[in-house]
Amino acid sequence: MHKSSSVVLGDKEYNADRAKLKRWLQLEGIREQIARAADREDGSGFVAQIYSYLSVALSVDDNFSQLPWFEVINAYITLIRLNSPKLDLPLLHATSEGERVPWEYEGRTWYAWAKIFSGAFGWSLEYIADLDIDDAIALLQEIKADEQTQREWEWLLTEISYDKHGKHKELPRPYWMRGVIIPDNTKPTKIKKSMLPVGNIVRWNETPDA
Amino acid sequence: MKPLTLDKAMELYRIIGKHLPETDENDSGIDFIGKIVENARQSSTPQDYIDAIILLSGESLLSISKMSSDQRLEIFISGLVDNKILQLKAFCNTMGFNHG
Repeated sequence: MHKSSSVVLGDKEYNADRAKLKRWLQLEGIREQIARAADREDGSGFVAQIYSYLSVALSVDDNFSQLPWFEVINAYITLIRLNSPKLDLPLLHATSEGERVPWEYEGRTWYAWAKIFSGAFGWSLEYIADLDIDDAIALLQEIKADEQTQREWEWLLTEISYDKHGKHKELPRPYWMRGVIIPDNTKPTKIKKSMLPVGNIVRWNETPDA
Repeated sequence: MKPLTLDKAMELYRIIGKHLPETDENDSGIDFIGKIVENARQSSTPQDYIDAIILLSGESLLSISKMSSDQRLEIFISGLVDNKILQLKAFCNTMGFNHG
């Protein structure tokens, strides 16, 4: 895994370290703004956010607005790659867009993550801010999976989880916990009885009688 | 010719995006630019062609109008080459810019 990359902007070479959790969340927030500006076809907002991404990712306050566009974009792509999670976690494939709550504000994501980790492990804000991105996402997935199984257990104990026939209704799982269902397209193969082995058959999943 | 800054490159894409042909993997950069020139010439909005030349050259409309058509064409083509128009199109498409 690359922990740093160098980019050349103008006549200056910058060395960028892979962002830790707090800065990564800030960068992801800017990426979201970039995507929104592109959706709105807002060229000036888009450009401003790209410069902002470079400044945060490189931890500098330099002016990139006079540089050739391809240098800026090549640096942007390099930094996006550097700061992308390397683990392919199901949590990252969740497609539904979270609803914006009325108490939303810029930078809230960081506090939401900090609350989850401090609540689960009692870590300090400084320690959480310095977490590796992959560790943080994998741990978040574990916390969320634990919460879901706990909810399922509580749901199992309630009356409303059973229909009038007494059949249990399962609590729906979030998208990322459902897994990928691979359709079974294999056709059953018929084998003549005379070709089957004789005697006791012990399968791998069975324990032979003592 | 000085390459465009990011804001100017986005402006260029806004102007000529609609004249950019679909990329064919067999096309060289020259073929691609040839198609753009052809599209711009046959376009019902020739103003886009002039606006792109003004942007690429940094010259005023008055200076552009005093140039010969060959000079304008040269600025247009070399401007697109210097500004890596194929790369610009690919980037804008990836980012979801559909204008043009």
